[in-house]
Amino acid sequence: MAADFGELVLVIGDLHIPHRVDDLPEQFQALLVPNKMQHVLCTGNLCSREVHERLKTIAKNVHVVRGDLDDNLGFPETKVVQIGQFKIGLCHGHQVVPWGDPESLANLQRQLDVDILITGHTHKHEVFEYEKKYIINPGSATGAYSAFTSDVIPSFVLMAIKGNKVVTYVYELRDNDVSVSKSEFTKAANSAQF
Amino acid sequence: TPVASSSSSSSESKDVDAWDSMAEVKRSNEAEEANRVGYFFEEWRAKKAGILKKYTTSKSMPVVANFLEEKTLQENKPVVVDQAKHRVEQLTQEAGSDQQVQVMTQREYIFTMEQNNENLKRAWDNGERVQALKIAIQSAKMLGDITVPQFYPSGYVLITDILDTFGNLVYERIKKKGMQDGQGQATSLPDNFRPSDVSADAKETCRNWFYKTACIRELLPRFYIELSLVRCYKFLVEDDYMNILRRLSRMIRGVGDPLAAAFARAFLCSKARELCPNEFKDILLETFNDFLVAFKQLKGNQFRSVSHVAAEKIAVFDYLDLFDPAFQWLIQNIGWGSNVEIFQALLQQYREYCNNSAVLVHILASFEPRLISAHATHMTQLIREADESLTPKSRLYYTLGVALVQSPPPREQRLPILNDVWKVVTKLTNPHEYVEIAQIFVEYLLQHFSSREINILLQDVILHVKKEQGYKQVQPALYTIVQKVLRYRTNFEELLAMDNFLPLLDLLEKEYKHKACKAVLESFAKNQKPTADPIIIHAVFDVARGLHDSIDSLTFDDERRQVGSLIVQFVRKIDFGHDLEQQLNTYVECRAAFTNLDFVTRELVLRVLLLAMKAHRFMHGKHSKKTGAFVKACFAYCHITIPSLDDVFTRLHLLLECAQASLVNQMIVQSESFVKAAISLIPDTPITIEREGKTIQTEPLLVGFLSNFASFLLLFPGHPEHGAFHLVKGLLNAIRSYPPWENASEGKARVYISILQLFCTYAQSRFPYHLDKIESNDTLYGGDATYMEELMIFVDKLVEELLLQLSLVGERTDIASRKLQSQLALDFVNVLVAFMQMNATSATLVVKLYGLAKRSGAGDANYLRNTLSHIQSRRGIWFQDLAQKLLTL
Amino acid sequence: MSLEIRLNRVDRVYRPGESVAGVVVVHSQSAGSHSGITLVTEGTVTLQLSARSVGLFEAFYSSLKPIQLMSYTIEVSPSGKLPAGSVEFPFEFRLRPFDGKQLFETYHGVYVNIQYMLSVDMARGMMSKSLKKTMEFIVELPPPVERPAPRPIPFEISPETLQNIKQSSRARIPDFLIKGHLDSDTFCVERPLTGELTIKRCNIDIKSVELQLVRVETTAYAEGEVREATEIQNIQLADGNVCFDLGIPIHMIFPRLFTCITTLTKNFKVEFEVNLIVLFQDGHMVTENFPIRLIR
Repeated sequence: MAADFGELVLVIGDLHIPHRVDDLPEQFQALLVPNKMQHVLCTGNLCSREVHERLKTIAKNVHVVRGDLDDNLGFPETKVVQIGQFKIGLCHGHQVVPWGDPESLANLQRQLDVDILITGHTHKHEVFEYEKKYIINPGSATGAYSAFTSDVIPSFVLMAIKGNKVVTYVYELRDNDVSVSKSEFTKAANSAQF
Repeated sequence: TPVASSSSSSSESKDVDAWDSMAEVKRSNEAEEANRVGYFFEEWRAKKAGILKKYTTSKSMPVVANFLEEKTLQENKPVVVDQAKHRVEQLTQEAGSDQQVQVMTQREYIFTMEQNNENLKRAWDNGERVQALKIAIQSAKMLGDITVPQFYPSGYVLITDILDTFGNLVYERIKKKGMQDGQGQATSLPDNFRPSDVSADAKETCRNWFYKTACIRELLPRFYIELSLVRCYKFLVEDDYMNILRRLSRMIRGVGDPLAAAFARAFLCSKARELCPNEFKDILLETFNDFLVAFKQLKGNQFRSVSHVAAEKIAVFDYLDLFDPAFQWLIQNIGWGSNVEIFQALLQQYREYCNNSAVLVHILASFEPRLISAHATHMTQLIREADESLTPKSRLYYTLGVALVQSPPPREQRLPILNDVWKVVTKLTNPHEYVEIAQIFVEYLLQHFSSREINILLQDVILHVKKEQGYKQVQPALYTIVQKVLRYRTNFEELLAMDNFLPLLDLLEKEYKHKACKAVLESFAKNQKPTADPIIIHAVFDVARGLHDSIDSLTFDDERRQVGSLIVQFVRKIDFGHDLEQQLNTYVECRAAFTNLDFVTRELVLRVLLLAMKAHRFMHGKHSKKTGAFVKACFAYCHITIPSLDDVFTRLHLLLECAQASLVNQMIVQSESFVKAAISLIPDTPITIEREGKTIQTEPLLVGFLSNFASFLLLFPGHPEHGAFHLVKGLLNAIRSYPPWENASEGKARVYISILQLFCTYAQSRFPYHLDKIESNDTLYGGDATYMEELMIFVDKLVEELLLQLSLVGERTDIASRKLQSQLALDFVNVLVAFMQMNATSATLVVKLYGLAKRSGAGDANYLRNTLSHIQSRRGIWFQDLAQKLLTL
Repeated sequence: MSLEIRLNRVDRVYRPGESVAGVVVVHSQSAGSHSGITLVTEGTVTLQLSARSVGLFEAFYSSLKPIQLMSYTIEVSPSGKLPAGSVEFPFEFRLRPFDGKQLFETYHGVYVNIQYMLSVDMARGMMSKSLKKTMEFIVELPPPVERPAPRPIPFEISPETLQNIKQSSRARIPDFLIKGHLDSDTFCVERPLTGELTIKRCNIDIKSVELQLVRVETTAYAEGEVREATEIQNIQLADGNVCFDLGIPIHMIFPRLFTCITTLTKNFKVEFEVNLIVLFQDGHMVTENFPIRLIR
């Protein structure tokens, strides 16, 4: 399966277990099983070691940045990971003013010098292109309440990276059903060249 | 000292959070599991230390002084046969007079024996084989000396060590030179050699050792030396071991002293096991029979033949206890891995000759539990009938219980056995003895019986323990009972239905009480699903409170963390579903009960916040009067509770969360009070905090926190009297009061950039996000001129302040500062480009800042390039012009 | 320069009629020569009279002539050169007695000695002393074609069975009964002597039970025969007050060199017997004698 899709990267975050939610939704648990994905990129706010351990069972390479409510102060604020041809930046996003603002995120993207920027915190999933860069927010995988609302739809993102192309699948849990939406992004050739 | 141990334990668990301590709790449970009594083979070497410790004496012991000079080998100097008289003379002579006997204390004796062991090795290494043999013989001779019986078992341990050394040296030597290679040179034998592999030379050497041994005149040394060499028969014969061992076993019948004979049998047992581990049990059975015959005769003549007992130098009880290591070893070897035939044969012998509890206890412990269990009724009968003058029956019941727990007896026998045993056990008056048995049998009950029977047993335990005044001694066993009950009864409803369980817990004191309470909470955390059962919650709550109350200022941090984590897990399991008020009431009780643990208090605040958000969700964001009041109560709870936390940083985070949650719930007044409380805390934020033994600078954390705060404030509506920005103003003032930020600093600059971004967003006609039913400043003041004016003043001030910070940073010329300056300048540029309208003033500022970033020579080239290309991509004349200017820089 | 004799059998044991083979090894630090190497082998019976039995002077004067059983002289090598280092010269001869004689087993006794020797002599010309080396080798007779069936010797010792005792002291003897047996009256010297004894009853403490192996050498001389008994081994079977009714093994290995097969000739005899000795705590001692025959 992995051979068809390229490298599979799970993008997940803002779980807030156990403070806001007891566990991942069962429907997601069934999907997030070991040996399917090669990488896990986590936007933070796990908020427990147990969840971190669980992520580590899903894939060999697990990268986590620190959310505002993570007790583990050892997680970095930002992290840059190279997967295939893509340079991917990871940040929780509570530091971005205003939260989730495309301009501010683009600033961060330029600063980190990445092709894909992944942030969380808003608990609203987003996948969009901005100035030929890809910006992703996986939302909250548990549907934990946010600073905006108590009604959050659980979601996470799966990226399949192959060559200069990345296909993202957004998994959402609406009314107990998992729905998937797909989008594609191709890295602009020589985009970083002058 | 306790202080040192505390610091070392905390440094070991550096990266520990609450989850780690949970893992530790789990691990310690597993360790205790492994320590359970069970069926295992204890090697002789593991017994030695215990024997040396137990069998001691203050008396002096005779030891032949000139160990080496004495003529020990029977030189085959033919002697003309004379009258009988001559023989008698010779014997008496050998018995002493010409030998120098020295009297030694136990300490000296032990030292001398260890010396002899060393001397033997040294002699061997020097090629003095005869000398080595002499030391071995002389040592073995000492096993015939029963002058001080109290020390005999220990002496046996020391002397057989020497003999083992000797036996190994001879064996290894022959093995090493035992084969001939193609060139006729001696070479080492393979490990699994056969007699046919052994060279004629090596065989001859081996035979010579046995010839030397065979002519040792005295029985006991001849026996011990041959046995210590018995493994060497492997060089000579293939399948005659059983005959050899049988002969040696019978040879012991010639040893008149019962104690010496018993230990000779133990040695036979050790060596037989080495020589043919698979088939030596038959021999041992006969050996054991011999022992029993001797034992019976000894008892028959009332121990009159034992001079020490006869002279009342030692009590019969103490004397017989000296035999214990020997027959324990013997029975253990017969029992280990035995089949039912051997088991029954041994029982037959036991019934015929012995019937003594001291022997029976080892039988019960030495055979596989499945054999004991299969014959359990028979066993209880034997226990009833046993003479318990040596070993109390309680010990036997205990041992029987250990076997029964490991292997269940036939179904139809389970209850009769229990009744049989408990009839006797319940009459025990010594609570310690009683509880030791109870802690084994409780597991038997847990395995096979219902809670009703277990409850009866627990009640019996309580009755017995109450009888004793100081029941310190029984505490470990009582704790074990609690542990076992918890292990088998994981359903708390069932557990608490046994109304003697909690009273049992109350019998525990201090550390055992503490450990037991922890065990209950661990089991609860592991096994209990979220519950609304008032009985369960109430009972476990009491346990948790007991545990909490045992925490004091002297408790180690690690322990606090563990207890805190357990109570938190308890709190999390309480779930009244839609009855949110009941839930909140419980949290109020919890707060009152668990005041000493910040970890718990913090959790309670988070739980209550969650309640408020749940209410919000149930009501789809539209509170009724009732739910509104409820949510208010929730925030009041938080408001009261948060200040009791020690850690300022935790308080800050909780306050912001509360502020956010209350605003989502449209509680503007409550939210504002949380915001104000947070702002007023900022100047008090410590510069460093301790987390898991590490010192951490708070500045970078505070930058993140304040940026988050800034984003949140965008939602917050301006105040009708104090204006649109009164909270931001307060925030800016507080920032300046944070001690590290009184002067130039990176953190301060970053926070200013964040707040600048906030103001830039404030200037937008439509904010990027809003809260349901909350009007933010864009709605309240949209397009208002004074609003924009005030805003611009803030922006100008911030720009000014930022430029000052940049130049202050720039005054430091080190590379790190230059890099920082460059980065901050670029951040600044990006904010300006993203949010400001481009005009002459702002464009000039951008050019200046970009130039600064570029010239510093320490900036991030990618960031520079990305920023430039971003400007290039922007539309509008100002940007095109700007891009041109920047390119020329 | 030195000589060494090496036999092809490690234990150096040969039977009549067999071939004795080996090498003479000459170790030499430098090259040289020799004037011939000879090997002499001899078998001899030496008899002696006991001074105690026949008187000191008689023993001295009437020393008996040794009996030669065999003798060979073999030239191992004629004179020749020797290189530096070790050189081996093989030899071989057949073990055969003089006509009309018989080879006996090697035996070293007090009054009877049967010995087989090899000696090598290397002559080294006029000026040097010749080098000599001697070595004993052992002769054993072949085992009988058919072993006699064991004939156990049962015994029972009690005050009633005692002889050589004054009727008056019989009353002071403790009451006891010891039963047992030797497994045979004939034993192979290479195998242990075996049997068993059981204390059936005893009203006084036993101090020790021992087994004494006694050798009886008889030499004939002009005036008759001299018979001498020697204890050659004594081992303890029981030590102290042993249990009743448990069979205690009797087990004794015959010491090599000091025992041989029972040998009866017209000039000398070597015979064996064992004594079972029971010592009581009060100093009483009881002995039971068993003549035995030893065979190969």
